[in-house]
Amino acid sequence: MLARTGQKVWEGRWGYIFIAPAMIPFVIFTAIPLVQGLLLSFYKAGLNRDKWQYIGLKNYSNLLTRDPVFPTAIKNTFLFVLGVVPAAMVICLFVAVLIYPLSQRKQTFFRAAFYMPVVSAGVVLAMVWVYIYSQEYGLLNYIFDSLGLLHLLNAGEKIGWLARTDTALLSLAIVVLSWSLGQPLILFLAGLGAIPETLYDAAKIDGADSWQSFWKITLPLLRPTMLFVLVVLTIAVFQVFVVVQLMTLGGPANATQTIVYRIWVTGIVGSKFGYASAMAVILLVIVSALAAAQFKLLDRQMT
Amino acid sequence: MKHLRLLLVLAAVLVVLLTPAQAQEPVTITYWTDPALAQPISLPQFDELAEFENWQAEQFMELHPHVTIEVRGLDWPDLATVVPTAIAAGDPPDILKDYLGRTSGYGVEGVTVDLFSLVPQEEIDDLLPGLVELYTIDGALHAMPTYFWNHAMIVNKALFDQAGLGDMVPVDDRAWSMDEFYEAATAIKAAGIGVDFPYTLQVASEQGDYDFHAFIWGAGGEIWNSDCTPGFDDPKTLAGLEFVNKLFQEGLINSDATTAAYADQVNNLFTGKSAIMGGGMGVLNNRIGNGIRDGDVTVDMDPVVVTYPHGEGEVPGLGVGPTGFAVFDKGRSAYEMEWIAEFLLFLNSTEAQVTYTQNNSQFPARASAGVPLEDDANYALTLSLIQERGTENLGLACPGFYEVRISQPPHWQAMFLGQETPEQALQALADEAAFILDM
Repeated sequence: MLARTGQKVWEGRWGYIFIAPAMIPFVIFTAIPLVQGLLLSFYKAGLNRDKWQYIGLKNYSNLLTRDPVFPTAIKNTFLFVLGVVPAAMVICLFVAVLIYPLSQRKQTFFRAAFYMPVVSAGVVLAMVWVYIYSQEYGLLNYIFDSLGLLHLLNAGEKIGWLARTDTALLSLAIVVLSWSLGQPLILFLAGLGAIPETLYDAAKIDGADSWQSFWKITLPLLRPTMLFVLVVLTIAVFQVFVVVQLMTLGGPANATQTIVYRIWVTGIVGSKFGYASAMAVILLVIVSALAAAQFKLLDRQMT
Repeated sequence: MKHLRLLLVLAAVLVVLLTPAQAQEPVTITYWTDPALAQPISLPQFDELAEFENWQAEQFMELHPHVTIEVRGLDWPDLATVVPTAIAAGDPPDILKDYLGRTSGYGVEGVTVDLFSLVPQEEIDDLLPGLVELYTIDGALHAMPTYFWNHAMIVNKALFDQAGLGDMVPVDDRAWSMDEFYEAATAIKAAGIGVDFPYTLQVASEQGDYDFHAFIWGAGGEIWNSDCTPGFDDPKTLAGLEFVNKLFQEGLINSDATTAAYADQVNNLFTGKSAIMGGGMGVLNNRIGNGIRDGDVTVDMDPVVVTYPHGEGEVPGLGVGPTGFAVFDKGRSAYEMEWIAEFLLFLNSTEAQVTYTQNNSQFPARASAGVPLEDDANYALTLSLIQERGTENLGLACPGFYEVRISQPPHWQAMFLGQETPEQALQALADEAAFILDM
């Protein structure tokens, strides 16, 4: 049995050698920490390793029954995902379909414009958005005031977009949305390029209009790309952190607390590594379950 | 016989040559420091983070060439994140200068060296006894106090004078009741001289909490009781909270307090949008003093130190917080620890404390450092206020202090935004603190 396994490994040695550059860092920096994190979630683990104590599922029971902030963080994270992911998908698809027929040069311009936030420093962008949302000196209030919208929305008073619990989360979601458009757009454009022109020609001969072509040809053939974008975007938005850390610190009144921000506060600031690991495991379970559901759903539609 | 003598001489020469060589074995010490000396008064050449500390290290290295000191300056937010991460990774600095609210957590966790066993007794005897007591956790001196800051109220009396309300500032006894404070704040706002928010505050993060807690102390309430239990169930704590909430709801505190940063507070004071701010000698001399020098203050400024408003029959003390040097247990050899102790005592010598506290407008932890700013009237006044009215218990050495501290701002924000009443905010905090301390 062992000899047969050894034989198989030997036969596939070139395969293993070729995947090693990717697998070795993955094992060291992802797989091992993942397992360690899982194990750590069963411990009361602080700064002093000598005092670490096995406590079974207590971290999980505390998180799910006693923690006053974690449920809010879960709710806010879901709201983020539900707001940002569909909006990003729709906007990117719409823009991709609009710019795809343009010349290569124009397409390149739009690709670059939408991709710019992806390669820009998050800190810089967050600072720009803090200025845009500033109650006193903000660009947004200036524009709203110029258009007379402040009278309509807030009796002429300037709005503290990040200072109000009813606007803070939405304000951050818009920032995250603006950062999330670049990659899906590039992928959708690539997906559109892979659809044979002959299908559209045939549809045209059959009398289909643009709308029908979109629904009957473009959308179904883009589904694999959409699945990929949906999964990747969902995972990315579930991990929203930088905007919260730089713009609101989870406030006001916990209105923008998210799961990853709680993990950071609990683990790094509070030095409760076991408890923070339990949060991370819960996040992993949620994201994995959602990704699996998305795969299943879209797979079924594709077959 | 001749050969024997020669051999003995050679042996003696070898001993002489080898002994110092062994003592001069190279040592590298890592020293991380807070950014407290960001705006030194008489050493303007050291205005960048850790420049002063690097200069100190260079002096030490000149005296002891075999010692290499690696200095790293950390900003306030980094102190709360980088240091714990380094400790968890098993690579903390040898020496850390930070304030008690954070080092006490390291002491409670048992990752610092007991300085009773490292520092000579005569050095400890020179430290103020109250500070030594505060720094002693489970019988161990978890860090060596170096200076302490104070927290009081700073009133720009020039604006009150300009509005013809100078008499409302309590320059005689430096104390005002809550009613007197409320009347003064209301009057200066109504005076129409551009003071939109008489008191400037920030509750976006825990960094502004003493400006907030001081109202609670003024009412006789507590955030931490003397036995290290949270004081959120104290009726006087509620009275203080209701007062500060009333100030906010009536527009006497800046409306952006829930998102404002410290720089916004300073800006409000410098531009005359606010006339009152919390702070100690460091804010008075360094922040405001340098602001006037650099032309950042755009209104007339006559800063006056007073205590926070007090409830009936209450005599609130001043908030006082010490900073110290913690030495981390990294399994260093006895020889290395000897040099770490040497550098620690160099950093915390009487001379160093005097230089440091003079430039940072703080108060030294050593009795031998005396009163470094004795010609400064406000410094002397602050010292006399501390002596007369005592100090408030900040709970800095209580287990769970920092986590309970960072759990507070969301509830102060919720109260300001009308989502929680002061009672609800305190109840929620009491529950949260119980949960944190129970974990």
